[in-house]
Amino acid sequence: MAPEQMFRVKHDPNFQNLRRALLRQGPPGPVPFIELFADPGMVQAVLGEDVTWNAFVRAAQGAETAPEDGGAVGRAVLDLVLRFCYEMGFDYVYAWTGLNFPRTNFRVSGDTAALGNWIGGLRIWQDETTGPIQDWADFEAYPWQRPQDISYRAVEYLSSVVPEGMKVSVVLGGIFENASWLMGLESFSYALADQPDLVAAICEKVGELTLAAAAHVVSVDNVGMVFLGDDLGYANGTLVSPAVLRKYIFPYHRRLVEIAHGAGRLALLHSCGNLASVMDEIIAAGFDGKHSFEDKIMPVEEVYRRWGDRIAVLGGLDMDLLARGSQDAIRERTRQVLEACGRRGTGYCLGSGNSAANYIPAANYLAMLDEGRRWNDEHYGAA
Amino acid sequence: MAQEPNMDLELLKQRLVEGDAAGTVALSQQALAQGVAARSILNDALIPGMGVVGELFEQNEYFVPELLLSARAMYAALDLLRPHLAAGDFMPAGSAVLGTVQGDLHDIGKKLVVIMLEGSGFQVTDLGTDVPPERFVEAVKESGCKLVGLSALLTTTMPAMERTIRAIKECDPSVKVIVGGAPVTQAYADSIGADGYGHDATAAVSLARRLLNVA
Repeated sequence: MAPEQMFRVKHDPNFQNLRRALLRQGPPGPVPFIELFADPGMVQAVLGEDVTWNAFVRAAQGAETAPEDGGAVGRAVLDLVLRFCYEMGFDYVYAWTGLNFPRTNFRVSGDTAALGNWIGGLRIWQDETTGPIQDWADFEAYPWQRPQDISYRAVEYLSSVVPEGMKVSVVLGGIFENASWLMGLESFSYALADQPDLVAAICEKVGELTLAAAAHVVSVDNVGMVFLGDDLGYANGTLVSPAVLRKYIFPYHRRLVEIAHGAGRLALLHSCGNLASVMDEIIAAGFDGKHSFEDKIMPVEEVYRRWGDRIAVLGGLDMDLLARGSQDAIRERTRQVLEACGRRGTGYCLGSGNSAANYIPAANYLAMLDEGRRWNDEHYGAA
Repeated sequence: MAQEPNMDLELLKQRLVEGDAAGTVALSQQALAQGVAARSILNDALIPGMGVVGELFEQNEYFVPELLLSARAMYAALDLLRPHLAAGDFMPAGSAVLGTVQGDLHDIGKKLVVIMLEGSGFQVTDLGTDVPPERFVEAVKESGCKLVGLSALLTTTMPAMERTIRAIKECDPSVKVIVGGAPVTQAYADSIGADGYGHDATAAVSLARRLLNVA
């Protein structure tokens, strides 16, 4: 099916408007929508189609979901992701590469979210205590991917089918996230003191593979931006000290931005937690936009007031409100945020404080976007 | 206090604050060899040292790794001191039951609170993660403690806090329940009938001391 035929609603994607807003350029225009990604549970609920977690992950990573059908199932899942992004009003579709750092340090519980996501109604949690790499022997034995083995099938497929005006946003996993998950945050914490060379080696391996993936995807037609997801903080500050981030993590962030910009692509950072102490360094790294803000930590209006003249501010509709609030309250808050951050007509994009997660009821998520469209229509005559 | 004048407990405290487990243990051994009472090492060096660590954490000068390293030093020294602590030497500041609520497997935030409570002299029963309300009730009955701490990471697991508080209060209304975690706020704590909200591990200790009237 031709991409245009699969959409149920008409939208005029305009990546140039998104790019303008992310680069904080004029003239003032409609506030674009942004998300790092949507959980399959959200895609499923909004589109009314089945998207199982396993099929989603395999397709997103460019694996053959069913080798015997030549990847048709994988493409079907990616088509649903494209439909979701298009019909929600995004100017891009998100895609992953096949870069991953396999590990088994997961824990499983019953999922308490509103929308089903994982098979069997379960939720998967990261084990923070330990991971597959605890010492040099583990490091040497670890099945590191080779750069040439990373699949870009999902990126390339979506790049070939995005409609006019739409681009691909490639989501890359973070250097700190992956390095700390490979050891477990607790072990990683001890290793900073006990085995700093091992920490450096893991960060280097993760960093170089991530940069290799970035260097490949920015050469793919229709890739408009890379979106690095690297959670560095918790409610009151960074998880590890700014000094540790400067030593092990930020050099790779800077190089990733250079790679994207060198190819004329944008570079965005999604990072949860209170990062006030390192915002200047995130800006200095050259990221075009910073994503993930929560009212409990710092309302997005305050972020925009403090840093909005130096970096685009992205999302920030509080996840707790989206998950538990009424649609009226969500609409009111959306309008409040847009009045504060959208009036200048650049440097802000509307979205959730984290992602279109499966613990947000679909109707609440749609209410936020609908209010955003109305506000845009009122102020810029365009939705 | 049976402290030898030539034993520098300040230095021992400093080693603990630096997260130097070997140094903390070595100086504790030296102090014992010089006749310093184990309870003095505990009360005059280890507990105050963890107090400094908590302050530094609250001021964002210390982060998760620094806190964990100091805790490792504290537990290593405690292992050494335990055989030397006579009955009655250690009077806990209070006792508490802690756990992450049902449906939630997030552990590290709760673990940091356990560390800081133990570091300030509390006796803590850590129930782990994904703990159903009835398990909290059992633990309260078994331990006779008057303080329970509940942790949750997600907006969707927070409601288990309210169910747990209700179960605990039905069992013993005098038990104080404090809550914390990424999505939890003072307003939410108030709305579910919690006795207090701690925005971080250090705040949780202050709250616990205040609720139990510990000086």
